[in-house]
Amino acid sequence: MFRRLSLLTTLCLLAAAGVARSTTVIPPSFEALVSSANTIFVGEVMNVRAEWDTTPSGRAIITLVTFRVEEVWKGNLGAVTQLEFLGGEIGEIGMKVEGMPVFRLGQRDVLFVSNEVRTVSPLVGFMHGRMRVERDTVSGVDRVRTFDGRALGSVVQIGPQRAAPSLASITPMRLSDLASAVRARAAAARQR
Amino acid sequence: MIARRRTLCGALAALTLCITTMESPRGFSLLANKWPNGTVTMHLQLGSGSGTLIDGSTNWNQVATNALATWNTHVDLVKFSAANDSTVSRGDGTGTNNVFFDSALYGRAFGNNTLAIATSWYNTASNNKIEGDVVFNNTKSWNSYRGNLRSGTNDLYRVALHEFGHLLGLDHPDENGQNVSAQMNSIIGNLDALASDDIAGARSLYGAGVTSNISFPPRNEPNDFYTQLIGVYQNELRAAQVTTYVDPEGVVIWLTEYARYRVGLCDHSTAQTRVFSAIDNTGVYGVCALTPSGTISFPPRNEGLDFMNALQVKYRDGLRRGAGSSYVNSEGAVVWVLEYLRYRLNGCGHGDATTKVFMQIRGQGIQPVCR
Repeated sequence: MFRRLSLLTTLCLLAAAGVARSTTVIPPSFEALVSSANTIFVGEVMNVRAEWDTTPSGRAIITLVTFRVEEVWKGNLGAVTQLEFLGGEIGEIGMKVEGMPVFRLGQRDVLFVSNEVRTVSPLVGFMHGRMRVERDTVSGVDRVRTFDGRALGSVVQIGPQRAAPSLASITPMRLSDLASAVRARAAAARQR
Repeated sequence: MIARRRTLCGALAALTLCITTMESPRGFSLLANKWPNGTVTMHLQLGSGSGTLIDGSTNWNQVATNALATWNTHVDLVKFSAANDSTVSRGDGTGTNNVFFDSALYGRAFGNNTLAIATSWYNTASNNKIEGDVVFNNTKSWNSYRGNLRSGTNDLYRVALHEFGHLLGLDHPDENGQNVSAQMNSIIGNLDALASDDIAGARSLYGAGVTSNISFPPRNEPNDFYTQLIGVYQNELRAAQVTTYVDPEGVVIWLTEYARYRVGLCDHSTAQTRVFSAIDNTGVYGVCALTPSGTISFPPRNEGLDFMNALQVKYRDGLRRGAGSSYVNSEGAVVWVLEYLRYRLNGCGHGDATTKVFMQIRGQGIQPVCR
């Protein structure tokens, strides 16, 4: 029975494997997320503000998201940091980059921030470098979901093997377990 | 034969059900904004340096044009128009819709894992789109092919289908709690065409939902006409039997459906797509517009024959039908069934229409319609 379930799970995962699109993005593996990130932190959204950005090819709207930094898992950050995302709304004009993460005040996220400058999205893997943190109202434990709200059972599910919606009923992993996995991976990479 | 009837009955049942309800359980997911009704001109600036691609396309713009045309066959209120090799300037927030390759999105880095990005501009009060651009990452390997994903090269066609779906206003069903087969799912896979869920989503935004204002004859009457036509071909014209994959009932019903879309002002490609969608049970559409009053005109013979040839292929390769034989060849079927329907839709009863067609076959010329 277990073998059959394992096979079924494997088949489901294989069926879900591929390239994520929104914007079409190849989902980075957990290892790539950690190694490509300049900083990795847990933050709470303090402010969201859109403004115009003039470019040689026209004008664009950018959204500046300010985070109160709770924990830093990789890199160095102060108590507050700001990230810049292409797209947003100003008055009656909106610019949407399909798939771009949207942040709201008070949300808590784990953010894998790329070291590239002037990017469409500052996150590694576009939207994949955002993981949502939700607090279990009964136990008070912080748990982790992917950018689109799927339960993240373990770091193995990050990348092309993203969980299918049918597997969304699994219990999300603890934030503390993700922190341990990230720190271990970052430490392993440093030792190489 | 039983299996054939079962398939046809299944398709007819679905047809009847959908025409009755014109609603299906919603599976797709929609973005907040859409285009106002009309034409959306896409400036295709992908260049011509592709060489011949795996699917036979000879340049990138052709692939994008095909993807736009595919969406067009399923929508009524908005149509993409492809401006090939357009030289308009590329820019964001300019009001023009650009499709091109670049290593960055208007000066901003894609990120290592990004294949393509779609951006939309819209009015926040009306939620009407005012601009949509798609930029493909030219640092990635591209081709165009059908079938399963191939290692090492990305299929521009299915990525374009997906991104243009976003431009229309479709979101990812799988990121909104749904588990459906769809090109609009967030993960690219072996699906190389639009699925019924994609089509249903697009039609929920831009389907006219027009019910034909033309009454077609009850099915038994064109069936009876076709039976008589076979007799005329066999006994009077002494026609030799030809190979066919479409049984007589299929000939009549699908030619009638094709005619229904054509007199409902659908173009040839749209009408064919919609008939095949009914055959596949992936959706039944309204016609494209109301038929103007006056004499009802019918499609030219070459287009009807093109449809009939495609129907033969559909039955042979899609429905896996075996070869049969008929005294009426495809051209005869198209010409005379459409003539019969033309008489019927222009005021003639079954007997009169049948007589008038047979007079034509016997060399007595085109007969006047009955109104």
